[in-house]
Amino acid sequence: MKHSFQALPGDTGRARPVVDLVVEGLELAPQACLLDTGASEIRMGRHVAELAGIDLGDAHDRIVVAGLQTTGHPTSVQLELRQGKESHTWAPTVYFCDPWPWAFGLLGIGGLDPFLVSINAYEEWVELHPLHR
Amino acid sequence: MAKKLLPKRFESGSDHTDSAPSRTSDSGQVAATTATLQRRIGETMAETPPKTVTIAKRRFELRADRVERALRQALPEPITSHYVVICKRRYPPKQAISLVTGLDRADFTTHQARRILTGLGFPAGRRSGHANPKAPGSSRGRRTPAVRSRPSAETLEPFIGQWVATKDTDVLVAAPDPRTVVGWLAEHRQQADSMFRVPSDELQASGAAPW
Repeated sequence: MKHSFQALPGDTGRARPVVDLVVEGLELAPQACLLDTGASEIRMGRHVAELAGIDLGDAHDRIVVAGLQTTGHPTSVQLELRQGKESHTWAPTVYFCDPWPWAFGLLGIGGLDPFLVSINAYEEWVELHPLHR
Repeated sequence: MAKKLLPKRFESGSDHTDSAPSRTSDSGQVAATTATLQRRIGETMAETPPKTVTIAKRRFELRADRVERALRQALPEPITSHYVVICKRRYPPKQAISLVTGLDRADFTTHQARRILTGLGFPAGRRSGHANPKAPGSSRGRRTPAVRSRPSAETLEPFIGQWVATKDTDVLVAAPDPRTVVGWLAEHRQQADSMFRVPSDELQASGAAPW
């Protein structure tokens, strides 16, 4: 599944490798996540859990993302990556964080386990190929 | 010294041009009117002279600044074909005229609404078919899977700081909070490709730590 980088306006520099994940079947609004091989886990804003009606429970960890301390609720959820008729579904642990001042979710290295990932920065695309179907 | 390698879209002759003067991501062409040539899309109008129009046998005095004010709180409905650009957002012409006049949409046609709004100086356009999903690098003849296309930086520029839902190269809806965006998608039975907040700086874009 091949996705163009997302170009950004203003002073935000060059386009970013972003993929869109359907969280717990919230098909009408796949969540844009920045591919971040420097991050260990998948992190999203708490609002995503609220939009998808996910019960976060009491478990939480204090974590630091990009120098900002936030509270992350680790929750096992179903994620789906789609493109056209192709689709891959898996159920990793996602940390839903509050506060979350960033524009995208973060698809860290832990979220990339099921894929072979190719990044072409020159042509500005990223391809995620599922390893096991 | 080796030349710095830039992403392909920055090279001359690239078929992916973010810096084009018009909204290249739109599927249709923006109709240039005399009024629109004198200002950029999305600029807010100052006090404007009234224009008398007759719709459904009723006379209205419309002013561009009042149209903008009336639509400021209204989220645009999905664009099926024709649109007008008001306050940096694209509205179906019938929605705009209906909100401004209070008339039922069955009382006038899309073309009539479009003509009135372009006469007030609002740019208008028409979407046709689907966006070209061609990949930035697919012109080289190498067989590559189709790449999901996204809106350009120029398309996102008016929505900095807002949450957007996008489909192909278009912005379906923009709102100050994600709940409103999802509510709009559900209400209008639309399915987005992607939802995110358009970042205003590097920190919001990539989470880079401040220094």
